[in-house]
Amino acid sequence: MKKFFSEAKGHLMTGIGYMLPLIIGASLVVAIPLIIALCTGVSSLDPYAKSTGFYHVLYQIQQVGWTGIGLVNTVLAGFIAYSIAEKPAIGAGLIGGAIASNYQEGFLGAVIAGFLAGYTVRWCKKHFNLPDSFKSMMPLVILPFFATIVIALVMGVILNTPLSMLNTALISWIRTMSKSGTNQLVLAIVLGAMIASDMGGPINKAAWMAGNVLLTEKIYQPNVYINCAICIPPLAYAISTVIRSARYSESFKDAGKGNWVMGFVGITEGAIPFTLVKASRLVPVNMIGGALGAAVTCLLGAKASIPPVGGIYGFITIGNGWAYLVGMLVGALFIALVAPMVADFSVDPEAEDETMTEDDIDISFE
Amino acid sequence: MKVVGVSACPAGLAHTPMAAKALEKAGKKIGFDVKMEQQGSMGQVNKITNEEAQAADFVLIASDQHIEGMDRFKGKPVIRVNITTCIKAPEAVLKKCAKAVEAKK
Repeated sequence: MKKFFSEAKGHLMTGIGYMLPLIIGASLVVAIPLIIALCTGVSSLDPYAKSTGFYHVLYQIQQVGWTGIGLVNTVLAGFIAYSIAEKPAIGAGLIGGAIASNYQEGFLGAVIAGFLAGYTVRWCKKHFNLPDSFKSMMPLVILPFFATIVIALVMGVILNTPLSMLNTALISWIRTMSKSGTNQLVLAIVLGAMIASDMGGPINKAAWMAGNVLLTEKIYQPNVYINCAICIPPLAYAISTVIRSARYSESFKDAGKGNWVMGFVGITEGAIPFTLVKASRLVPVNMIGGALGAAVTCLLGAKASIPPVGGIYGFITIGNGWAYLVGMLVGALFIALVAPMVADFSVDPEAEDETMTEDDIDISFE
Repeated sequence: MKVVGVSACPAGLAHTPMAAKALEKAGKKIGFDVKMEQQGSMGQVNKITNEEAQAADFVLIASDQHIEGMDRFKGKPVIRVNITTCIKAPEAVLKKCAKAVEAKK
């Protein structure tokens, strides 16, 4: 059972890996026309839906981006299915993801659809024994048909109502949460800590995904905290290598330079080499830094009325953008000052973890 | 011992090259001939050819994700190891895998 779950996690992460470039491309295409409009004093492009001229062109570009964001569930489900059972499963997975979007079954629905399509194909491959003359029909006709009919029955009929009810309830719960003050602070702290916890790993991606799902529901506020926390760890170590340079080896100082860029555009992964030095102490420090930064951003009243853009420059898409920057700086400074106190960065990162012996390593044959 | 392998992580930005480099370096240290392909954000980097795959003693997959081109490794012992383990203790990973493969023969 444990093996099944670790395998399932792998499939989920593969699906997310294929979805990342889609959502990043699409959300930038939504955001850039808006930024241009904001810079020229127009706060929403929606009124230009039916007009002509420059702002209408911006509106049209933005709509294309929204189409991309609308594909998120579809692509996620399609590539979870692909990860499990390859080509014959993609179609059913894509269909299941699209159904999840259309019937308001949300992200959860898309994940279920992806696994359902993938495992149906895998099950059929294993249990269907056809005469040789029909074998060639398996990948092209039989497998896709069975996977799709299962999706139709489960996603379209059986789970349709319960999933859409669950999803709608979840969304409205988060919507109220991101409106009230105290709850919002809790939300900021939780999201900030999650983002800074495993930098690019499953917990980080879960928080990030939640933000993106809410984006498609036009709830923008949580993304402010997420984007803020994303920049914090890499930025923190970049700052730290400068203000506490005596505590860092040459190769870490080099890595610190790269982290300015990572922090600027918002790639948490930049902080990984630093964190690995002493993960048991630095992960909690990172999490506190992320939570602190998001909380300060929240308390100072950063407000998102349009989809916020990631990275430091994202502040221009946020109302009270300075709050976003101050929060980020507070979180980053916390890590920058505390990290060198709890870990030693003066030895090279190449040094191996001697405490891990062959007995601690899990390997599995395929 | 000739080893080929593939590393991959969801974003393909940090873990993927780190694991690949750590394993190749550890291989040099203990006298293994290690070549790691990276399946990250840049697509397939340092790609392993069919000939290289068939000449290897075993295949090390440093990932729990879906790997492109697994058919290259048909008939070879394929071992999956968690990617962070490969970064933390590459030498021990290689040694343990080599032992496991020997024991299987």
